[in-house]
This record gives sequence, C-alpha cells and structure tokens, in this order.
Amino acid sequence: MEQELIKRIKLGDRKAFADLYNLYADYALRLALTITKEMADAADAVQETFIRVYKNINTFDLQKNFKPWFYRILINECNRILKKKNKVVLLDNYFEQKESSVSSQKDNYDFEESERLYNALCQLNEEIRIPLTLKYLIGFSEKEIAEILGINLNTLKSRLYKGRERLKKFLSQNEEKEGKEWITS
Amino acid sequence: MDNKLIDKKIESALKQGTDHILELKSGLWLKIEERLEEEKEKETIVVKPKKKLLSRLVIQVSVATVLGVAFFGFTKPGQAAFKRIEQLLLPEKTIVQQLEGNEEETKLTLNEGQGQKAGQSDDLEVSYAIYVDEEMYKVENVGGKDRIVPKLAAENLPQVYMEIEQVADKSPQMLVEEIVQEMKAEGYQLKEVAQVDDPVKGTLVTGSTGNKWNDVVVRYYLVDNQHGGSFVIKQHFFLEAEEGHGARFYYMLKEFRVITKGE
Repeated sequence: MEQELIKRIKLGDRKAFADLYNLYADYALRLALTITKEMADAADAVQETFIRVYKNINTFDLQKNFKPWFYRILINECNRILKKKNKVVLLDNYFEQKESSVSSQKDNYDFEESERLYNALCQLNEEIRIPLTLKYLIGFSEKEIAEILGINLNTLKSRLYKGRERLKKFLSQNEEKEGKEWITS
Repeated sequence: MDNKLIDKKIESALKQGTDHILELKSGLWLKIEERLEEEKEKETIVVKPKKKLLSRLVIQVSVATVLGVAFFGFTKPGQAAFKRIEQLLLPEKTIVQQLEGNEEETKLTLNEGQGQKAGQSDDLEVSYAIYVDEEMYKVENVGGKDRIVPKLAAENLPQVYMEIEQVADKSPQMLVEEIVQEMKAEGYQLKEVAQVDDPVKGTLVTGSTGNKWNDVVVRYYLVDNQHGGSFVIKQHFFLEAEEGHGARFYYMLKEFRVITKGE
C-alpha cells in the first residue's frame, strides 16, 4: 500500500501525499517531540520533513523501504532545528544530574508513573533517547534503527541496553520511594 | 522488575507523554498544503522568465549566426551561436541538493553538448545544455556520447555515469521498446516505464540486476528534442550509490535544457 502511495506521489498525486501524511504524521510528531522536546519545534520539523519528502520523492528508490528514509530525514530535520537554536544536549546520565533537578522530580511525585517515566526518558542523552523512541514508540527493529542512525549494530544494542537499564533503575527507585511514602503516610 | 513489563511501561510512557502533540496534526497539514502551493507558485514564477530567456536565446542565436556569416565570413556559425548561449545561460550556478536527508550547496558549471541537424532542416541545429558538478564529476566522450563520470572512481565496483546521446531520427515513443529489449538482453529486470515531469519531462525506463548493494541500476530518460528526435539520458550506478550518485545525477539532470539554434 505504501509503495503504491509513493508511486502515485511520484506522479504528482496530491491526494496520495495527503494519505501518506495521515499514515505517518502521528508517529512523526511523537518522535519529533521526544527529540526537540518542544511542540513548536516538533511541528516545524515534521512540516519541513513532509515538504522535503514531497520535493525529493523522485530521488527515492521504490525498491527500498520508505520508513527508514522518512525517519532519517525527520531526525536530521530535528537536529537542524536544535542546532539552529543552539540547544545543549542534556546530561548523559539522568542519575548524575544536579540535585536541583532531582528535587524538582520529587515535587512531581503526584504525577502518574507513566508521566514520570516519560520525563526521565526525556532527560536521557539523545544518543540513547532517540534509539529508545524508535524502538518502543515506532517499533523499528534494531537493524533498522542502526541503519537509520548510521551506527554499528553493537553500538546501538549497547545504547538500548544502557537506556533500558537506566529507566529500570529509575522505576525501581521510584517504587521504593513511593512504598516508603505510603508506609509513612 | 521483569524486562517485558519495563518494555511495556516505556512504550506506554512514550505514547502517553506525546499524546498531546497529536492535536497539531490537522492544522499542520493545512500549513504543509499552503507551503506546497507557495512552492508551486514560486516554480511558476521562475519558469516564466526561463521560457522568455530561451526564446530570447533562440532569437539572438539566429542573429548571431547571420551576423557571423555576413561580417566574419570565416566564423563558424556554431561557435558564434555557442558564445551567445554561454552569455545567456549563466556559466555557473549554485544549487542546494538534498543528499541522504542533508542539504548540500553545490556549484554547477555549464556544459553544452554537440549539436546535430534537426530533422530534414539544414538550418536548424539541436543540442543541449546541462550544468555539471565539476568538483565531483568530469565530462568524457565515449563512443560519440557525452558521459559524466565521477572524478574518483572506486575500484571493483560497477561503473557510475550519466550518459547523454542525441538520436536525431527517433522519437521517445519509438525508442522505448528498443531500450526495453536491450535492457532485457543485457540481463536487467525491468522495473518501471513511466511518463515523468521531474527531473525532466519525458519517458522514464528503469531496471536493475537485483537487490544486492552492488547490483546495477539503470535509468533511461527519453526526452523529445522537438524535431522528431530524442535525447537518451542513461544513468548507470549501483544500488548502494542510489542516494549519493543517483541523487547527484538527479539534480544535474534537473538543469538539462534542449537548445535549438537557428530558429
């Protein structure tokens, strides 16, 4: 179906492009938000990505898988926006952050676990955050993620492992604290 | 904590944490449509002067040819005409290429192909102009055809080139079948035969030898020369080079122009 849409877009069919947008926009917006962390930036990145896809669709080889091509453009677009805004990449280790950040997390204890986990994920270094998002949100295989990000498969596996371990640690610490608070309350 | 449970929690956190951005989806589509319309309008504006330029070019070429003969009896009309063309088509232009998702600013240099008599007419000559990325490629003449080849060719890899040939007496429609048969005889699997508007207006015939990284991909663009003949533009590279050389050939070909001298 996707290949059929692309063939039609190559012939200038705008309706097919709208269908492609409907198919990809949700996950594109979600991924862009986890990378840029701001709604406006995420929307800009997605908008530019779709325009680039439309303008360059003739360079895309129909024998190849469209998804990795699309997400590679999106990630590059997000990075371009971040670079333009000169954003500093966040600390590699969530648990090595300054005390202030930890205390602000404490203030959020009334939030749902899922939200806290999302916030923790957002504070991971982008080298870990992007592969995690591609795996858990979009459902790419490890091989596909390595291809999209242009990194070695083993490097990717190690980043995914690190990321998952950090979130696991976060969840266990969270559970422990919640348990204590529940006992003392 | 169980790994599967963690996986589930991460997945649901990512979905829940990004749910709110979906409210932008429909508004964003409107913006994209608006941008595409703007781009289309821009293209129209750019095309108009180009058309004027071409007709001006043809008129001035004719004048140049006549003047060449009248005042400088020994001046070859073709040379005078080409000088005029060079003056009217900028000798260099800078384009922005999208290569593997990244933008790259590239300087292209004007090159003109060998002219041929148009159909039965002795007065008209048809040739082409193309802008070439001379930092990466050079133009060679191979068996009477112009071939754009990488300056640095890798060893033990299939050849990479874009070849331009003018066939004065066959229209694109007449050539399609010939090319398809030739491709089959050479062992290519035929992938697509289609009418395209981009990067040039014409007929596209594509094929490949397979899906491995080093399998050969060929693309033929058949462009009407407006005088009963065709330009056959053949792109030849391997699958892995699709987004590199393949994309660069695409951008150079976007700058391809058919030129008629003496109208």
